[in-house]
Amino acid sequence: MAQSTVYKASGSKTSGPAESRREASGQEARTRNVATQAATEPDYGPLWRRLFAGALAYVVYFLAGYLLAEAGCLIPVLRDKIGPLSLLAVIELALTAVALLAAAWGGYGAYRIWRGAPKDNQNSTRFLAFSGVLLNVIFGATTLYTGIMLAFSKACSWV
Amino acid sequence: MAAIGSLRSAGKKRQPIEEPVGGSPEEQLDRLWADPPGFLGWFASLQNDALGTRIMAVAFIFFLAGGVNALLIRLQLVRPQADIISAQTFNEAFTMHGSTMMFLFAVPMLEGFAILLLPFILGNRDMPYPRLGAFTFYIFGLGGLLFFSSYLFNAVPDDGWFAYTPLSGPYFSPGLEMDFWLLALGVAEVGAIAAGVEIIIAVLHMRAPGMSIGRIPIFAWAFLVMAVAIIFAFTTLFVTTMMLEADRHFGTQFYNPVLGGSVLLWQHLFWIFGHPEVYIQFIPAAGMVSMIVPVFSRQRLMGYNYVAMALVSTGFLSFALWAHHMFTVGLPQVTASFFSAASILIAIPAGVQIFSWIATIAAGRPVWRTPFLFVLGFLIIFVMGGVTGVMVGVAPFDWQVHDSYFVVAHFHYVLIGGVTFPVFAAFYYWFPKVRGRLLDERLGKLNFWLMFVGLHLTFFPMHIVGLLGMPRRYYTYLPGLGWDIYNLVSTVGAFILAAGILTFVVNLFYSLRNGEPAGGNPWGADSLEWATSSPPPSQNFTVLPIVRSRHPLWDQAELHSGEERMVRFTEALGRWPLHWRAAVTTSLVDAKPKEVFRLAGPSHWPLVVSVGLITIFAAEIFLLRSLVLGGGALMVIGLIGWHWPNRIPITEEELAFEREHGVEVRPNGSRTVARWGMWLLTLVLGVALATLLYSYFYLRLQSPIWPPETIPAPALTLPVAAALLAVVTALAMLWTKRRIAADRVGAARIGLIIALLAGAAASALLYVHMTGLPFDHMQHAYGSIFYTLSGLLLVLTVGGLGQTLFTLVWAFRGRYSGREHVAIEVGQDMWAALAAFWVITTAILYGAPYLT
Repeated sequence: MAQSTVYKASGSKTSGPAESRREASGQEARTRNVATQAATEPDYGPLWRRLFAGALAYVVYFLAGYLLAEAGCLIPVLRDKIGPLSLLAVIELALTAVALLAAAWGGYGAYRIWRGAPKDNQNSTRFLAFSGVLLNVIFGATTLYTGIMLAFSKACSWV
Repeated sequence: MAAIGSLRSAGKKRQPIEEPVGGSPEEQLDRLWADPPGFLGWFASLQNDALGTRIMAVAFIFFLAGGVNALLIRLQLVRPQADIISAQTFNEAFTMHGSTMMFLFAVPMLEGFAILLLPFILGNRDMPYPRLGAFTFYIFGLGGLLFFSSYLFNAVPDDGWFAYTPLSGPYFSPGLEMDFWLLALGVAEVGAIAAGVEIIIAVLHMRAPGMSIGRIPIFAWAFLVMAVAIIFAFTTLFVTTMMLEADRHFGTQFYNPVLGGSVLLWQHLFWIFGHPEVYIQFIPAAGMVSMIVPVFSRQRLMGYNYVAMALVSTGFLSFALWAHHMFTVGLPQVTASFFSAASILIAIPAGVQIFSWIATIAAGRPVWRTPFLFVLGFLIIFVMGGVTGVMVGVAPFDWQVHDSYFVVAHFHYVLIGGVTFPVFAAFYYWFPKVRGRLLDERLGKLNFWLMFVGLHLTFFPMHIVGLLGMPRRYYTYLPGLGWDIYNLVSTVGAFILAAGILTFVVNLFYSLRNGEPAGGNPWGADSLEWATSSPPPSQNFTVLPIVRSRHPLWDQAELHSGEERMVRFTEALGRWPLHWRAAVTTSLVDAKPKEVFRLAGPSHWPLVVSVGLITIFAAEIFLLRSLVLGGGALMVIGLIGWHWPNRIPITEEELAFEREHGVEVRPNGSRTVARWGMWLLTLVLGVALATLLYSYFYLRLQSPIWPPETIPAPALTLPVAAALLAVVTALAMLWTKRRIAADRVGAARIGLIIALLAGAAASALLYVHMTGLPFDHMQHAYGSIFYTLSGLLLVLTVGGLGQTLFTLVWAFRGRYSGREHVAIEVGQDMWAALAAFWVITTAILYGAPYLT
C-alpha cells in the first residue's frame, strides 16, 4: 500500500485558503527572524577542496599540456633540446609533477580526514573523505600514466 | 488502484491560490498538484510523471524511425552490388539513423527517465523547474519533428551524424539538407540543456530530508554527472553548429581554410561534444543498472562509494578523449599521447562498476525476471564493446581500423549494449510505477532473447568484416572480397533485433490493459519511488519520507520516523500549506530542510516560448527573416509571461510555520533554486564563451600572421572603456544587493539605476566600436571570430539589462525588502559573471594581436 497514505493527518489545523490568506503585518514580515538552524551544516569546504584536488589539477594539466603540445610545432623554441628531452617535454613533465603533487595533497588530506571520521559509511564526512581518496588515486594514476607516455613522445613528431 | 485512479482524475481546475479545497489533506494535495483537464489543459501540464512519460514516448517513436533507417542500411548491404536503395538514399539513411539515435532517442529518453523518476527516487514532490521540464518536452518534440520534416521538402540530411566540414559547408552542401540538420537538431539541443539544469538542482537540493550525500541513490549520482556533462558538451555543440550555420547563411569563414578557417576545428569541437555524448548516455544507463541489479539480486550494491566515484571520474575523463576520433588526421605525437592515455584509463572506472555489479549478483540470490535479463545482457555486451574500445584507444591499432566496420561493431556494442539494453531493463522495471501494471513476462523474455541474439548476429560479424577491410558508409561492395557472408548474417540479425523491439511494442499495448496489477512495490525494491502507490498520486508524497539509510525500504520499518524535529516538520508539511504547490529544498551535504517553497503552477507559456523558438530556427532554414523576427517576438512575449511575478504575500500562518520548524517558507519561489538556476545559466554561457575562445586560439595557431596583413590590429580605447563600465555595472549590483539586504530600499533603487546606466553605456560603446571597425566578419576567419565574440558580449549584456530593467520596475513597485530580494541576488550573480566575460574577452581579443 502506498506509503504516502501511512501518515493520517488530522486535518484539524487545515484552514481554508481565504482564511489563511490573511497577510502578515509588513513589520513582522520584514523583521521576522527566520530560524534556519535546521539547514546549518558543518563546514565541508576543506573536504570539497581535497575531494576534487586531483581531478581539477588533471583538468588544468590536460588543457595546458594539450594546448602546449598543439603549439609545440609552431613555436620553434619549444623543440630545443635540454639533454635528451625537448623543452616542450620538460615543461610537460614539470606540469605532470605539479598535477601529481595536487593529487597527493588531496588524497593524503582526504585520507587523514577519513581516518578521523565516524565509523559509519553513510556519514557525510566519511563518505566525502573516502571519495576524495578514490578520486585522487584515479586522477593521480591518470596523470602519471599520461606523464610517462609524454616522456617517450617526440615533440612535433606527427602521427 | 481504483482509488488512486479516481484521485488522479479528480483534478478539475487548478487555481492553487484561491480555490477552496476540501477533504483530507491527501485529497486536497492531490487536487492541488493535478494537471488541468481537457485538451488545452494537456498543454499546460507540468506534472513530472506526465512530462517524463511524454518525453520518453516521443523519444521512443524517434527510436523506431531511426531503426527503420538502420534496416534500410542493412537491406542495401545484404549482398554485393545490391540496388535496393540508391547511394543518395543510403547516405540519407545512415545520417538520419545516427543523428536520430544520438540526438532524438538516447539523450531525450534518459532525460525523460530523470524527469519522470527523480522526484520519486529523491523523495520530493516535483522537479525544481516544472515549466522548464515542459519547455524541454515541447522544444525536443518540435525540434525532432522539424528534423524529420526534411523528408517533406526532399532535403534529407546526408552528410553523416558528425556533419564534417567541408562536406557540410556552403560549398559542398549548398541545399537545405544541412540547414535542417544544424538548425533542427540545434534547437532540440536547447531542450537537453534545459533538462540538464533542473536535473542538477534536483539532485543537489531537492532530496528528501535525511538523504545525505552518502545516501543518494546511484541513479541520482549518475544523472547528476550526466547533467553536468550535458551542460558542457551540448553547449559546445550548440555553439559549434551555430558557427557552421553562420558560415552557411551569414558568410563567416570559421571552417573555410582558404580564408583563415579550419576544417579540423569542426572535428575538434564536434568531438569535444561527441565523445562525452557517449558517456552522457552510458552513465545514466549504468545508474539504472545499479538500481536494478541489487533489487533482483536481493543484495545491497557492493562498493557503493566506489561506484559513485567511478561515475564522477568517468564524467571528468569523458572530456579528455575527444581526439581519439581524430588519430588519423595528423596530430602531434604528444597530443595523441594525452588522448590515448585518457582513452585507455577510462576503462578503470567502467571496470569498477562492472566488478561491483558482478560481485553483487554473485553475493545475492538472483530473481530471473525480464529487467534482470536485460541487465545481464547489458553486462555481456558492454564488456565486449568496452574491450574493443580499449583497442581503438591505442593509436596504432586505430590507424588500422579507423572508418572500418570494426569501429561500427565497437560502438554498437557499447551503445546498444551499454544504453539500449539498460533502457529496456528500465522500461520493464519502472513501467509498473507509472501505469500500475506489470509488463507481460513471457513477451518480455521473448523480447530479450530476440534482441540479444539479434544484436550479436548483427554486429559481431562486423568485427571480422572490418578487420578484412570493409569501410563504413559505402553503399555497396564488390563480390569476392570475403565480405558477403558476414553482411548477410548482419542483415538477418538486424531483422531479428527489430523483431525483438516490435515484441516490446506489442507487450506495451497488451500490458497497458491486461498487465498484472503491480501494487505499490512489485519487485520488493529498496528505493523511495516504490514507497508511493502505483501509479503515484499527483503530489508524489503527501508526507515526505525521512531517509536514514541508503536502502530506505529495506532498512527502515517506518519512513516517517527519525529525528523528532524532522518528523514534526514533514508531518506538518503534509497537512500544510495546502494553498500552493509546496516543495522542499534541502541542504547540499546533509539534506537538512532549508526551504518550503512554491513551485510554479500549470502554464501555457513554455509552449509559447517553444513555438517562438522553433519558429526562429525553422524560418532560418528557409531564410525567411521576417518570420525569424516574428518567432523572436513571440519568444520574448512568452518569456515575459513565463516570468511575470505572481506575488503572494506571506501569511501569519506561514510565519508561524517558519518559526516553529526553523525552515524558511517562500511563497514566491525558492532562493536556492533561483540562485542555482542563475549559476548554471552562467555556466552554460561561460562554456559557450570558452568554445569561442578555444576556436580563437585554434584559428590563431593555424595562422602565421594574426590578424592577417589586410586587417589592422583593433584600437583599444573604446573596448577597454566598455569593459570597465561592465565592471562598474557588476560593482553597482553588488552595492545594490548589500543595500537591499540591509532593508534600504531607496538606496537599492539608486544602485539599480546606476547599474542600468553603466551597462547600457558599455553596450553602446561596444556597438559604436564594432560599427567603426575597418573589417567585417566575412573577409577572414579572424573577423568572423572577432565579431562573434564581441556580438556574444553585446547580446548577453542587452539580455542582462533586460533583467535589470525588470528588477528596477519591480523595485519601484515595492516588491523587494531585506527578506525578499532574490531577483536582485541573481542579478548580481549574473552581472559578476558578465563582467568576468567582458574582461577575459576584451583581454584576449585586443591583447592577443599586440602580444603576438
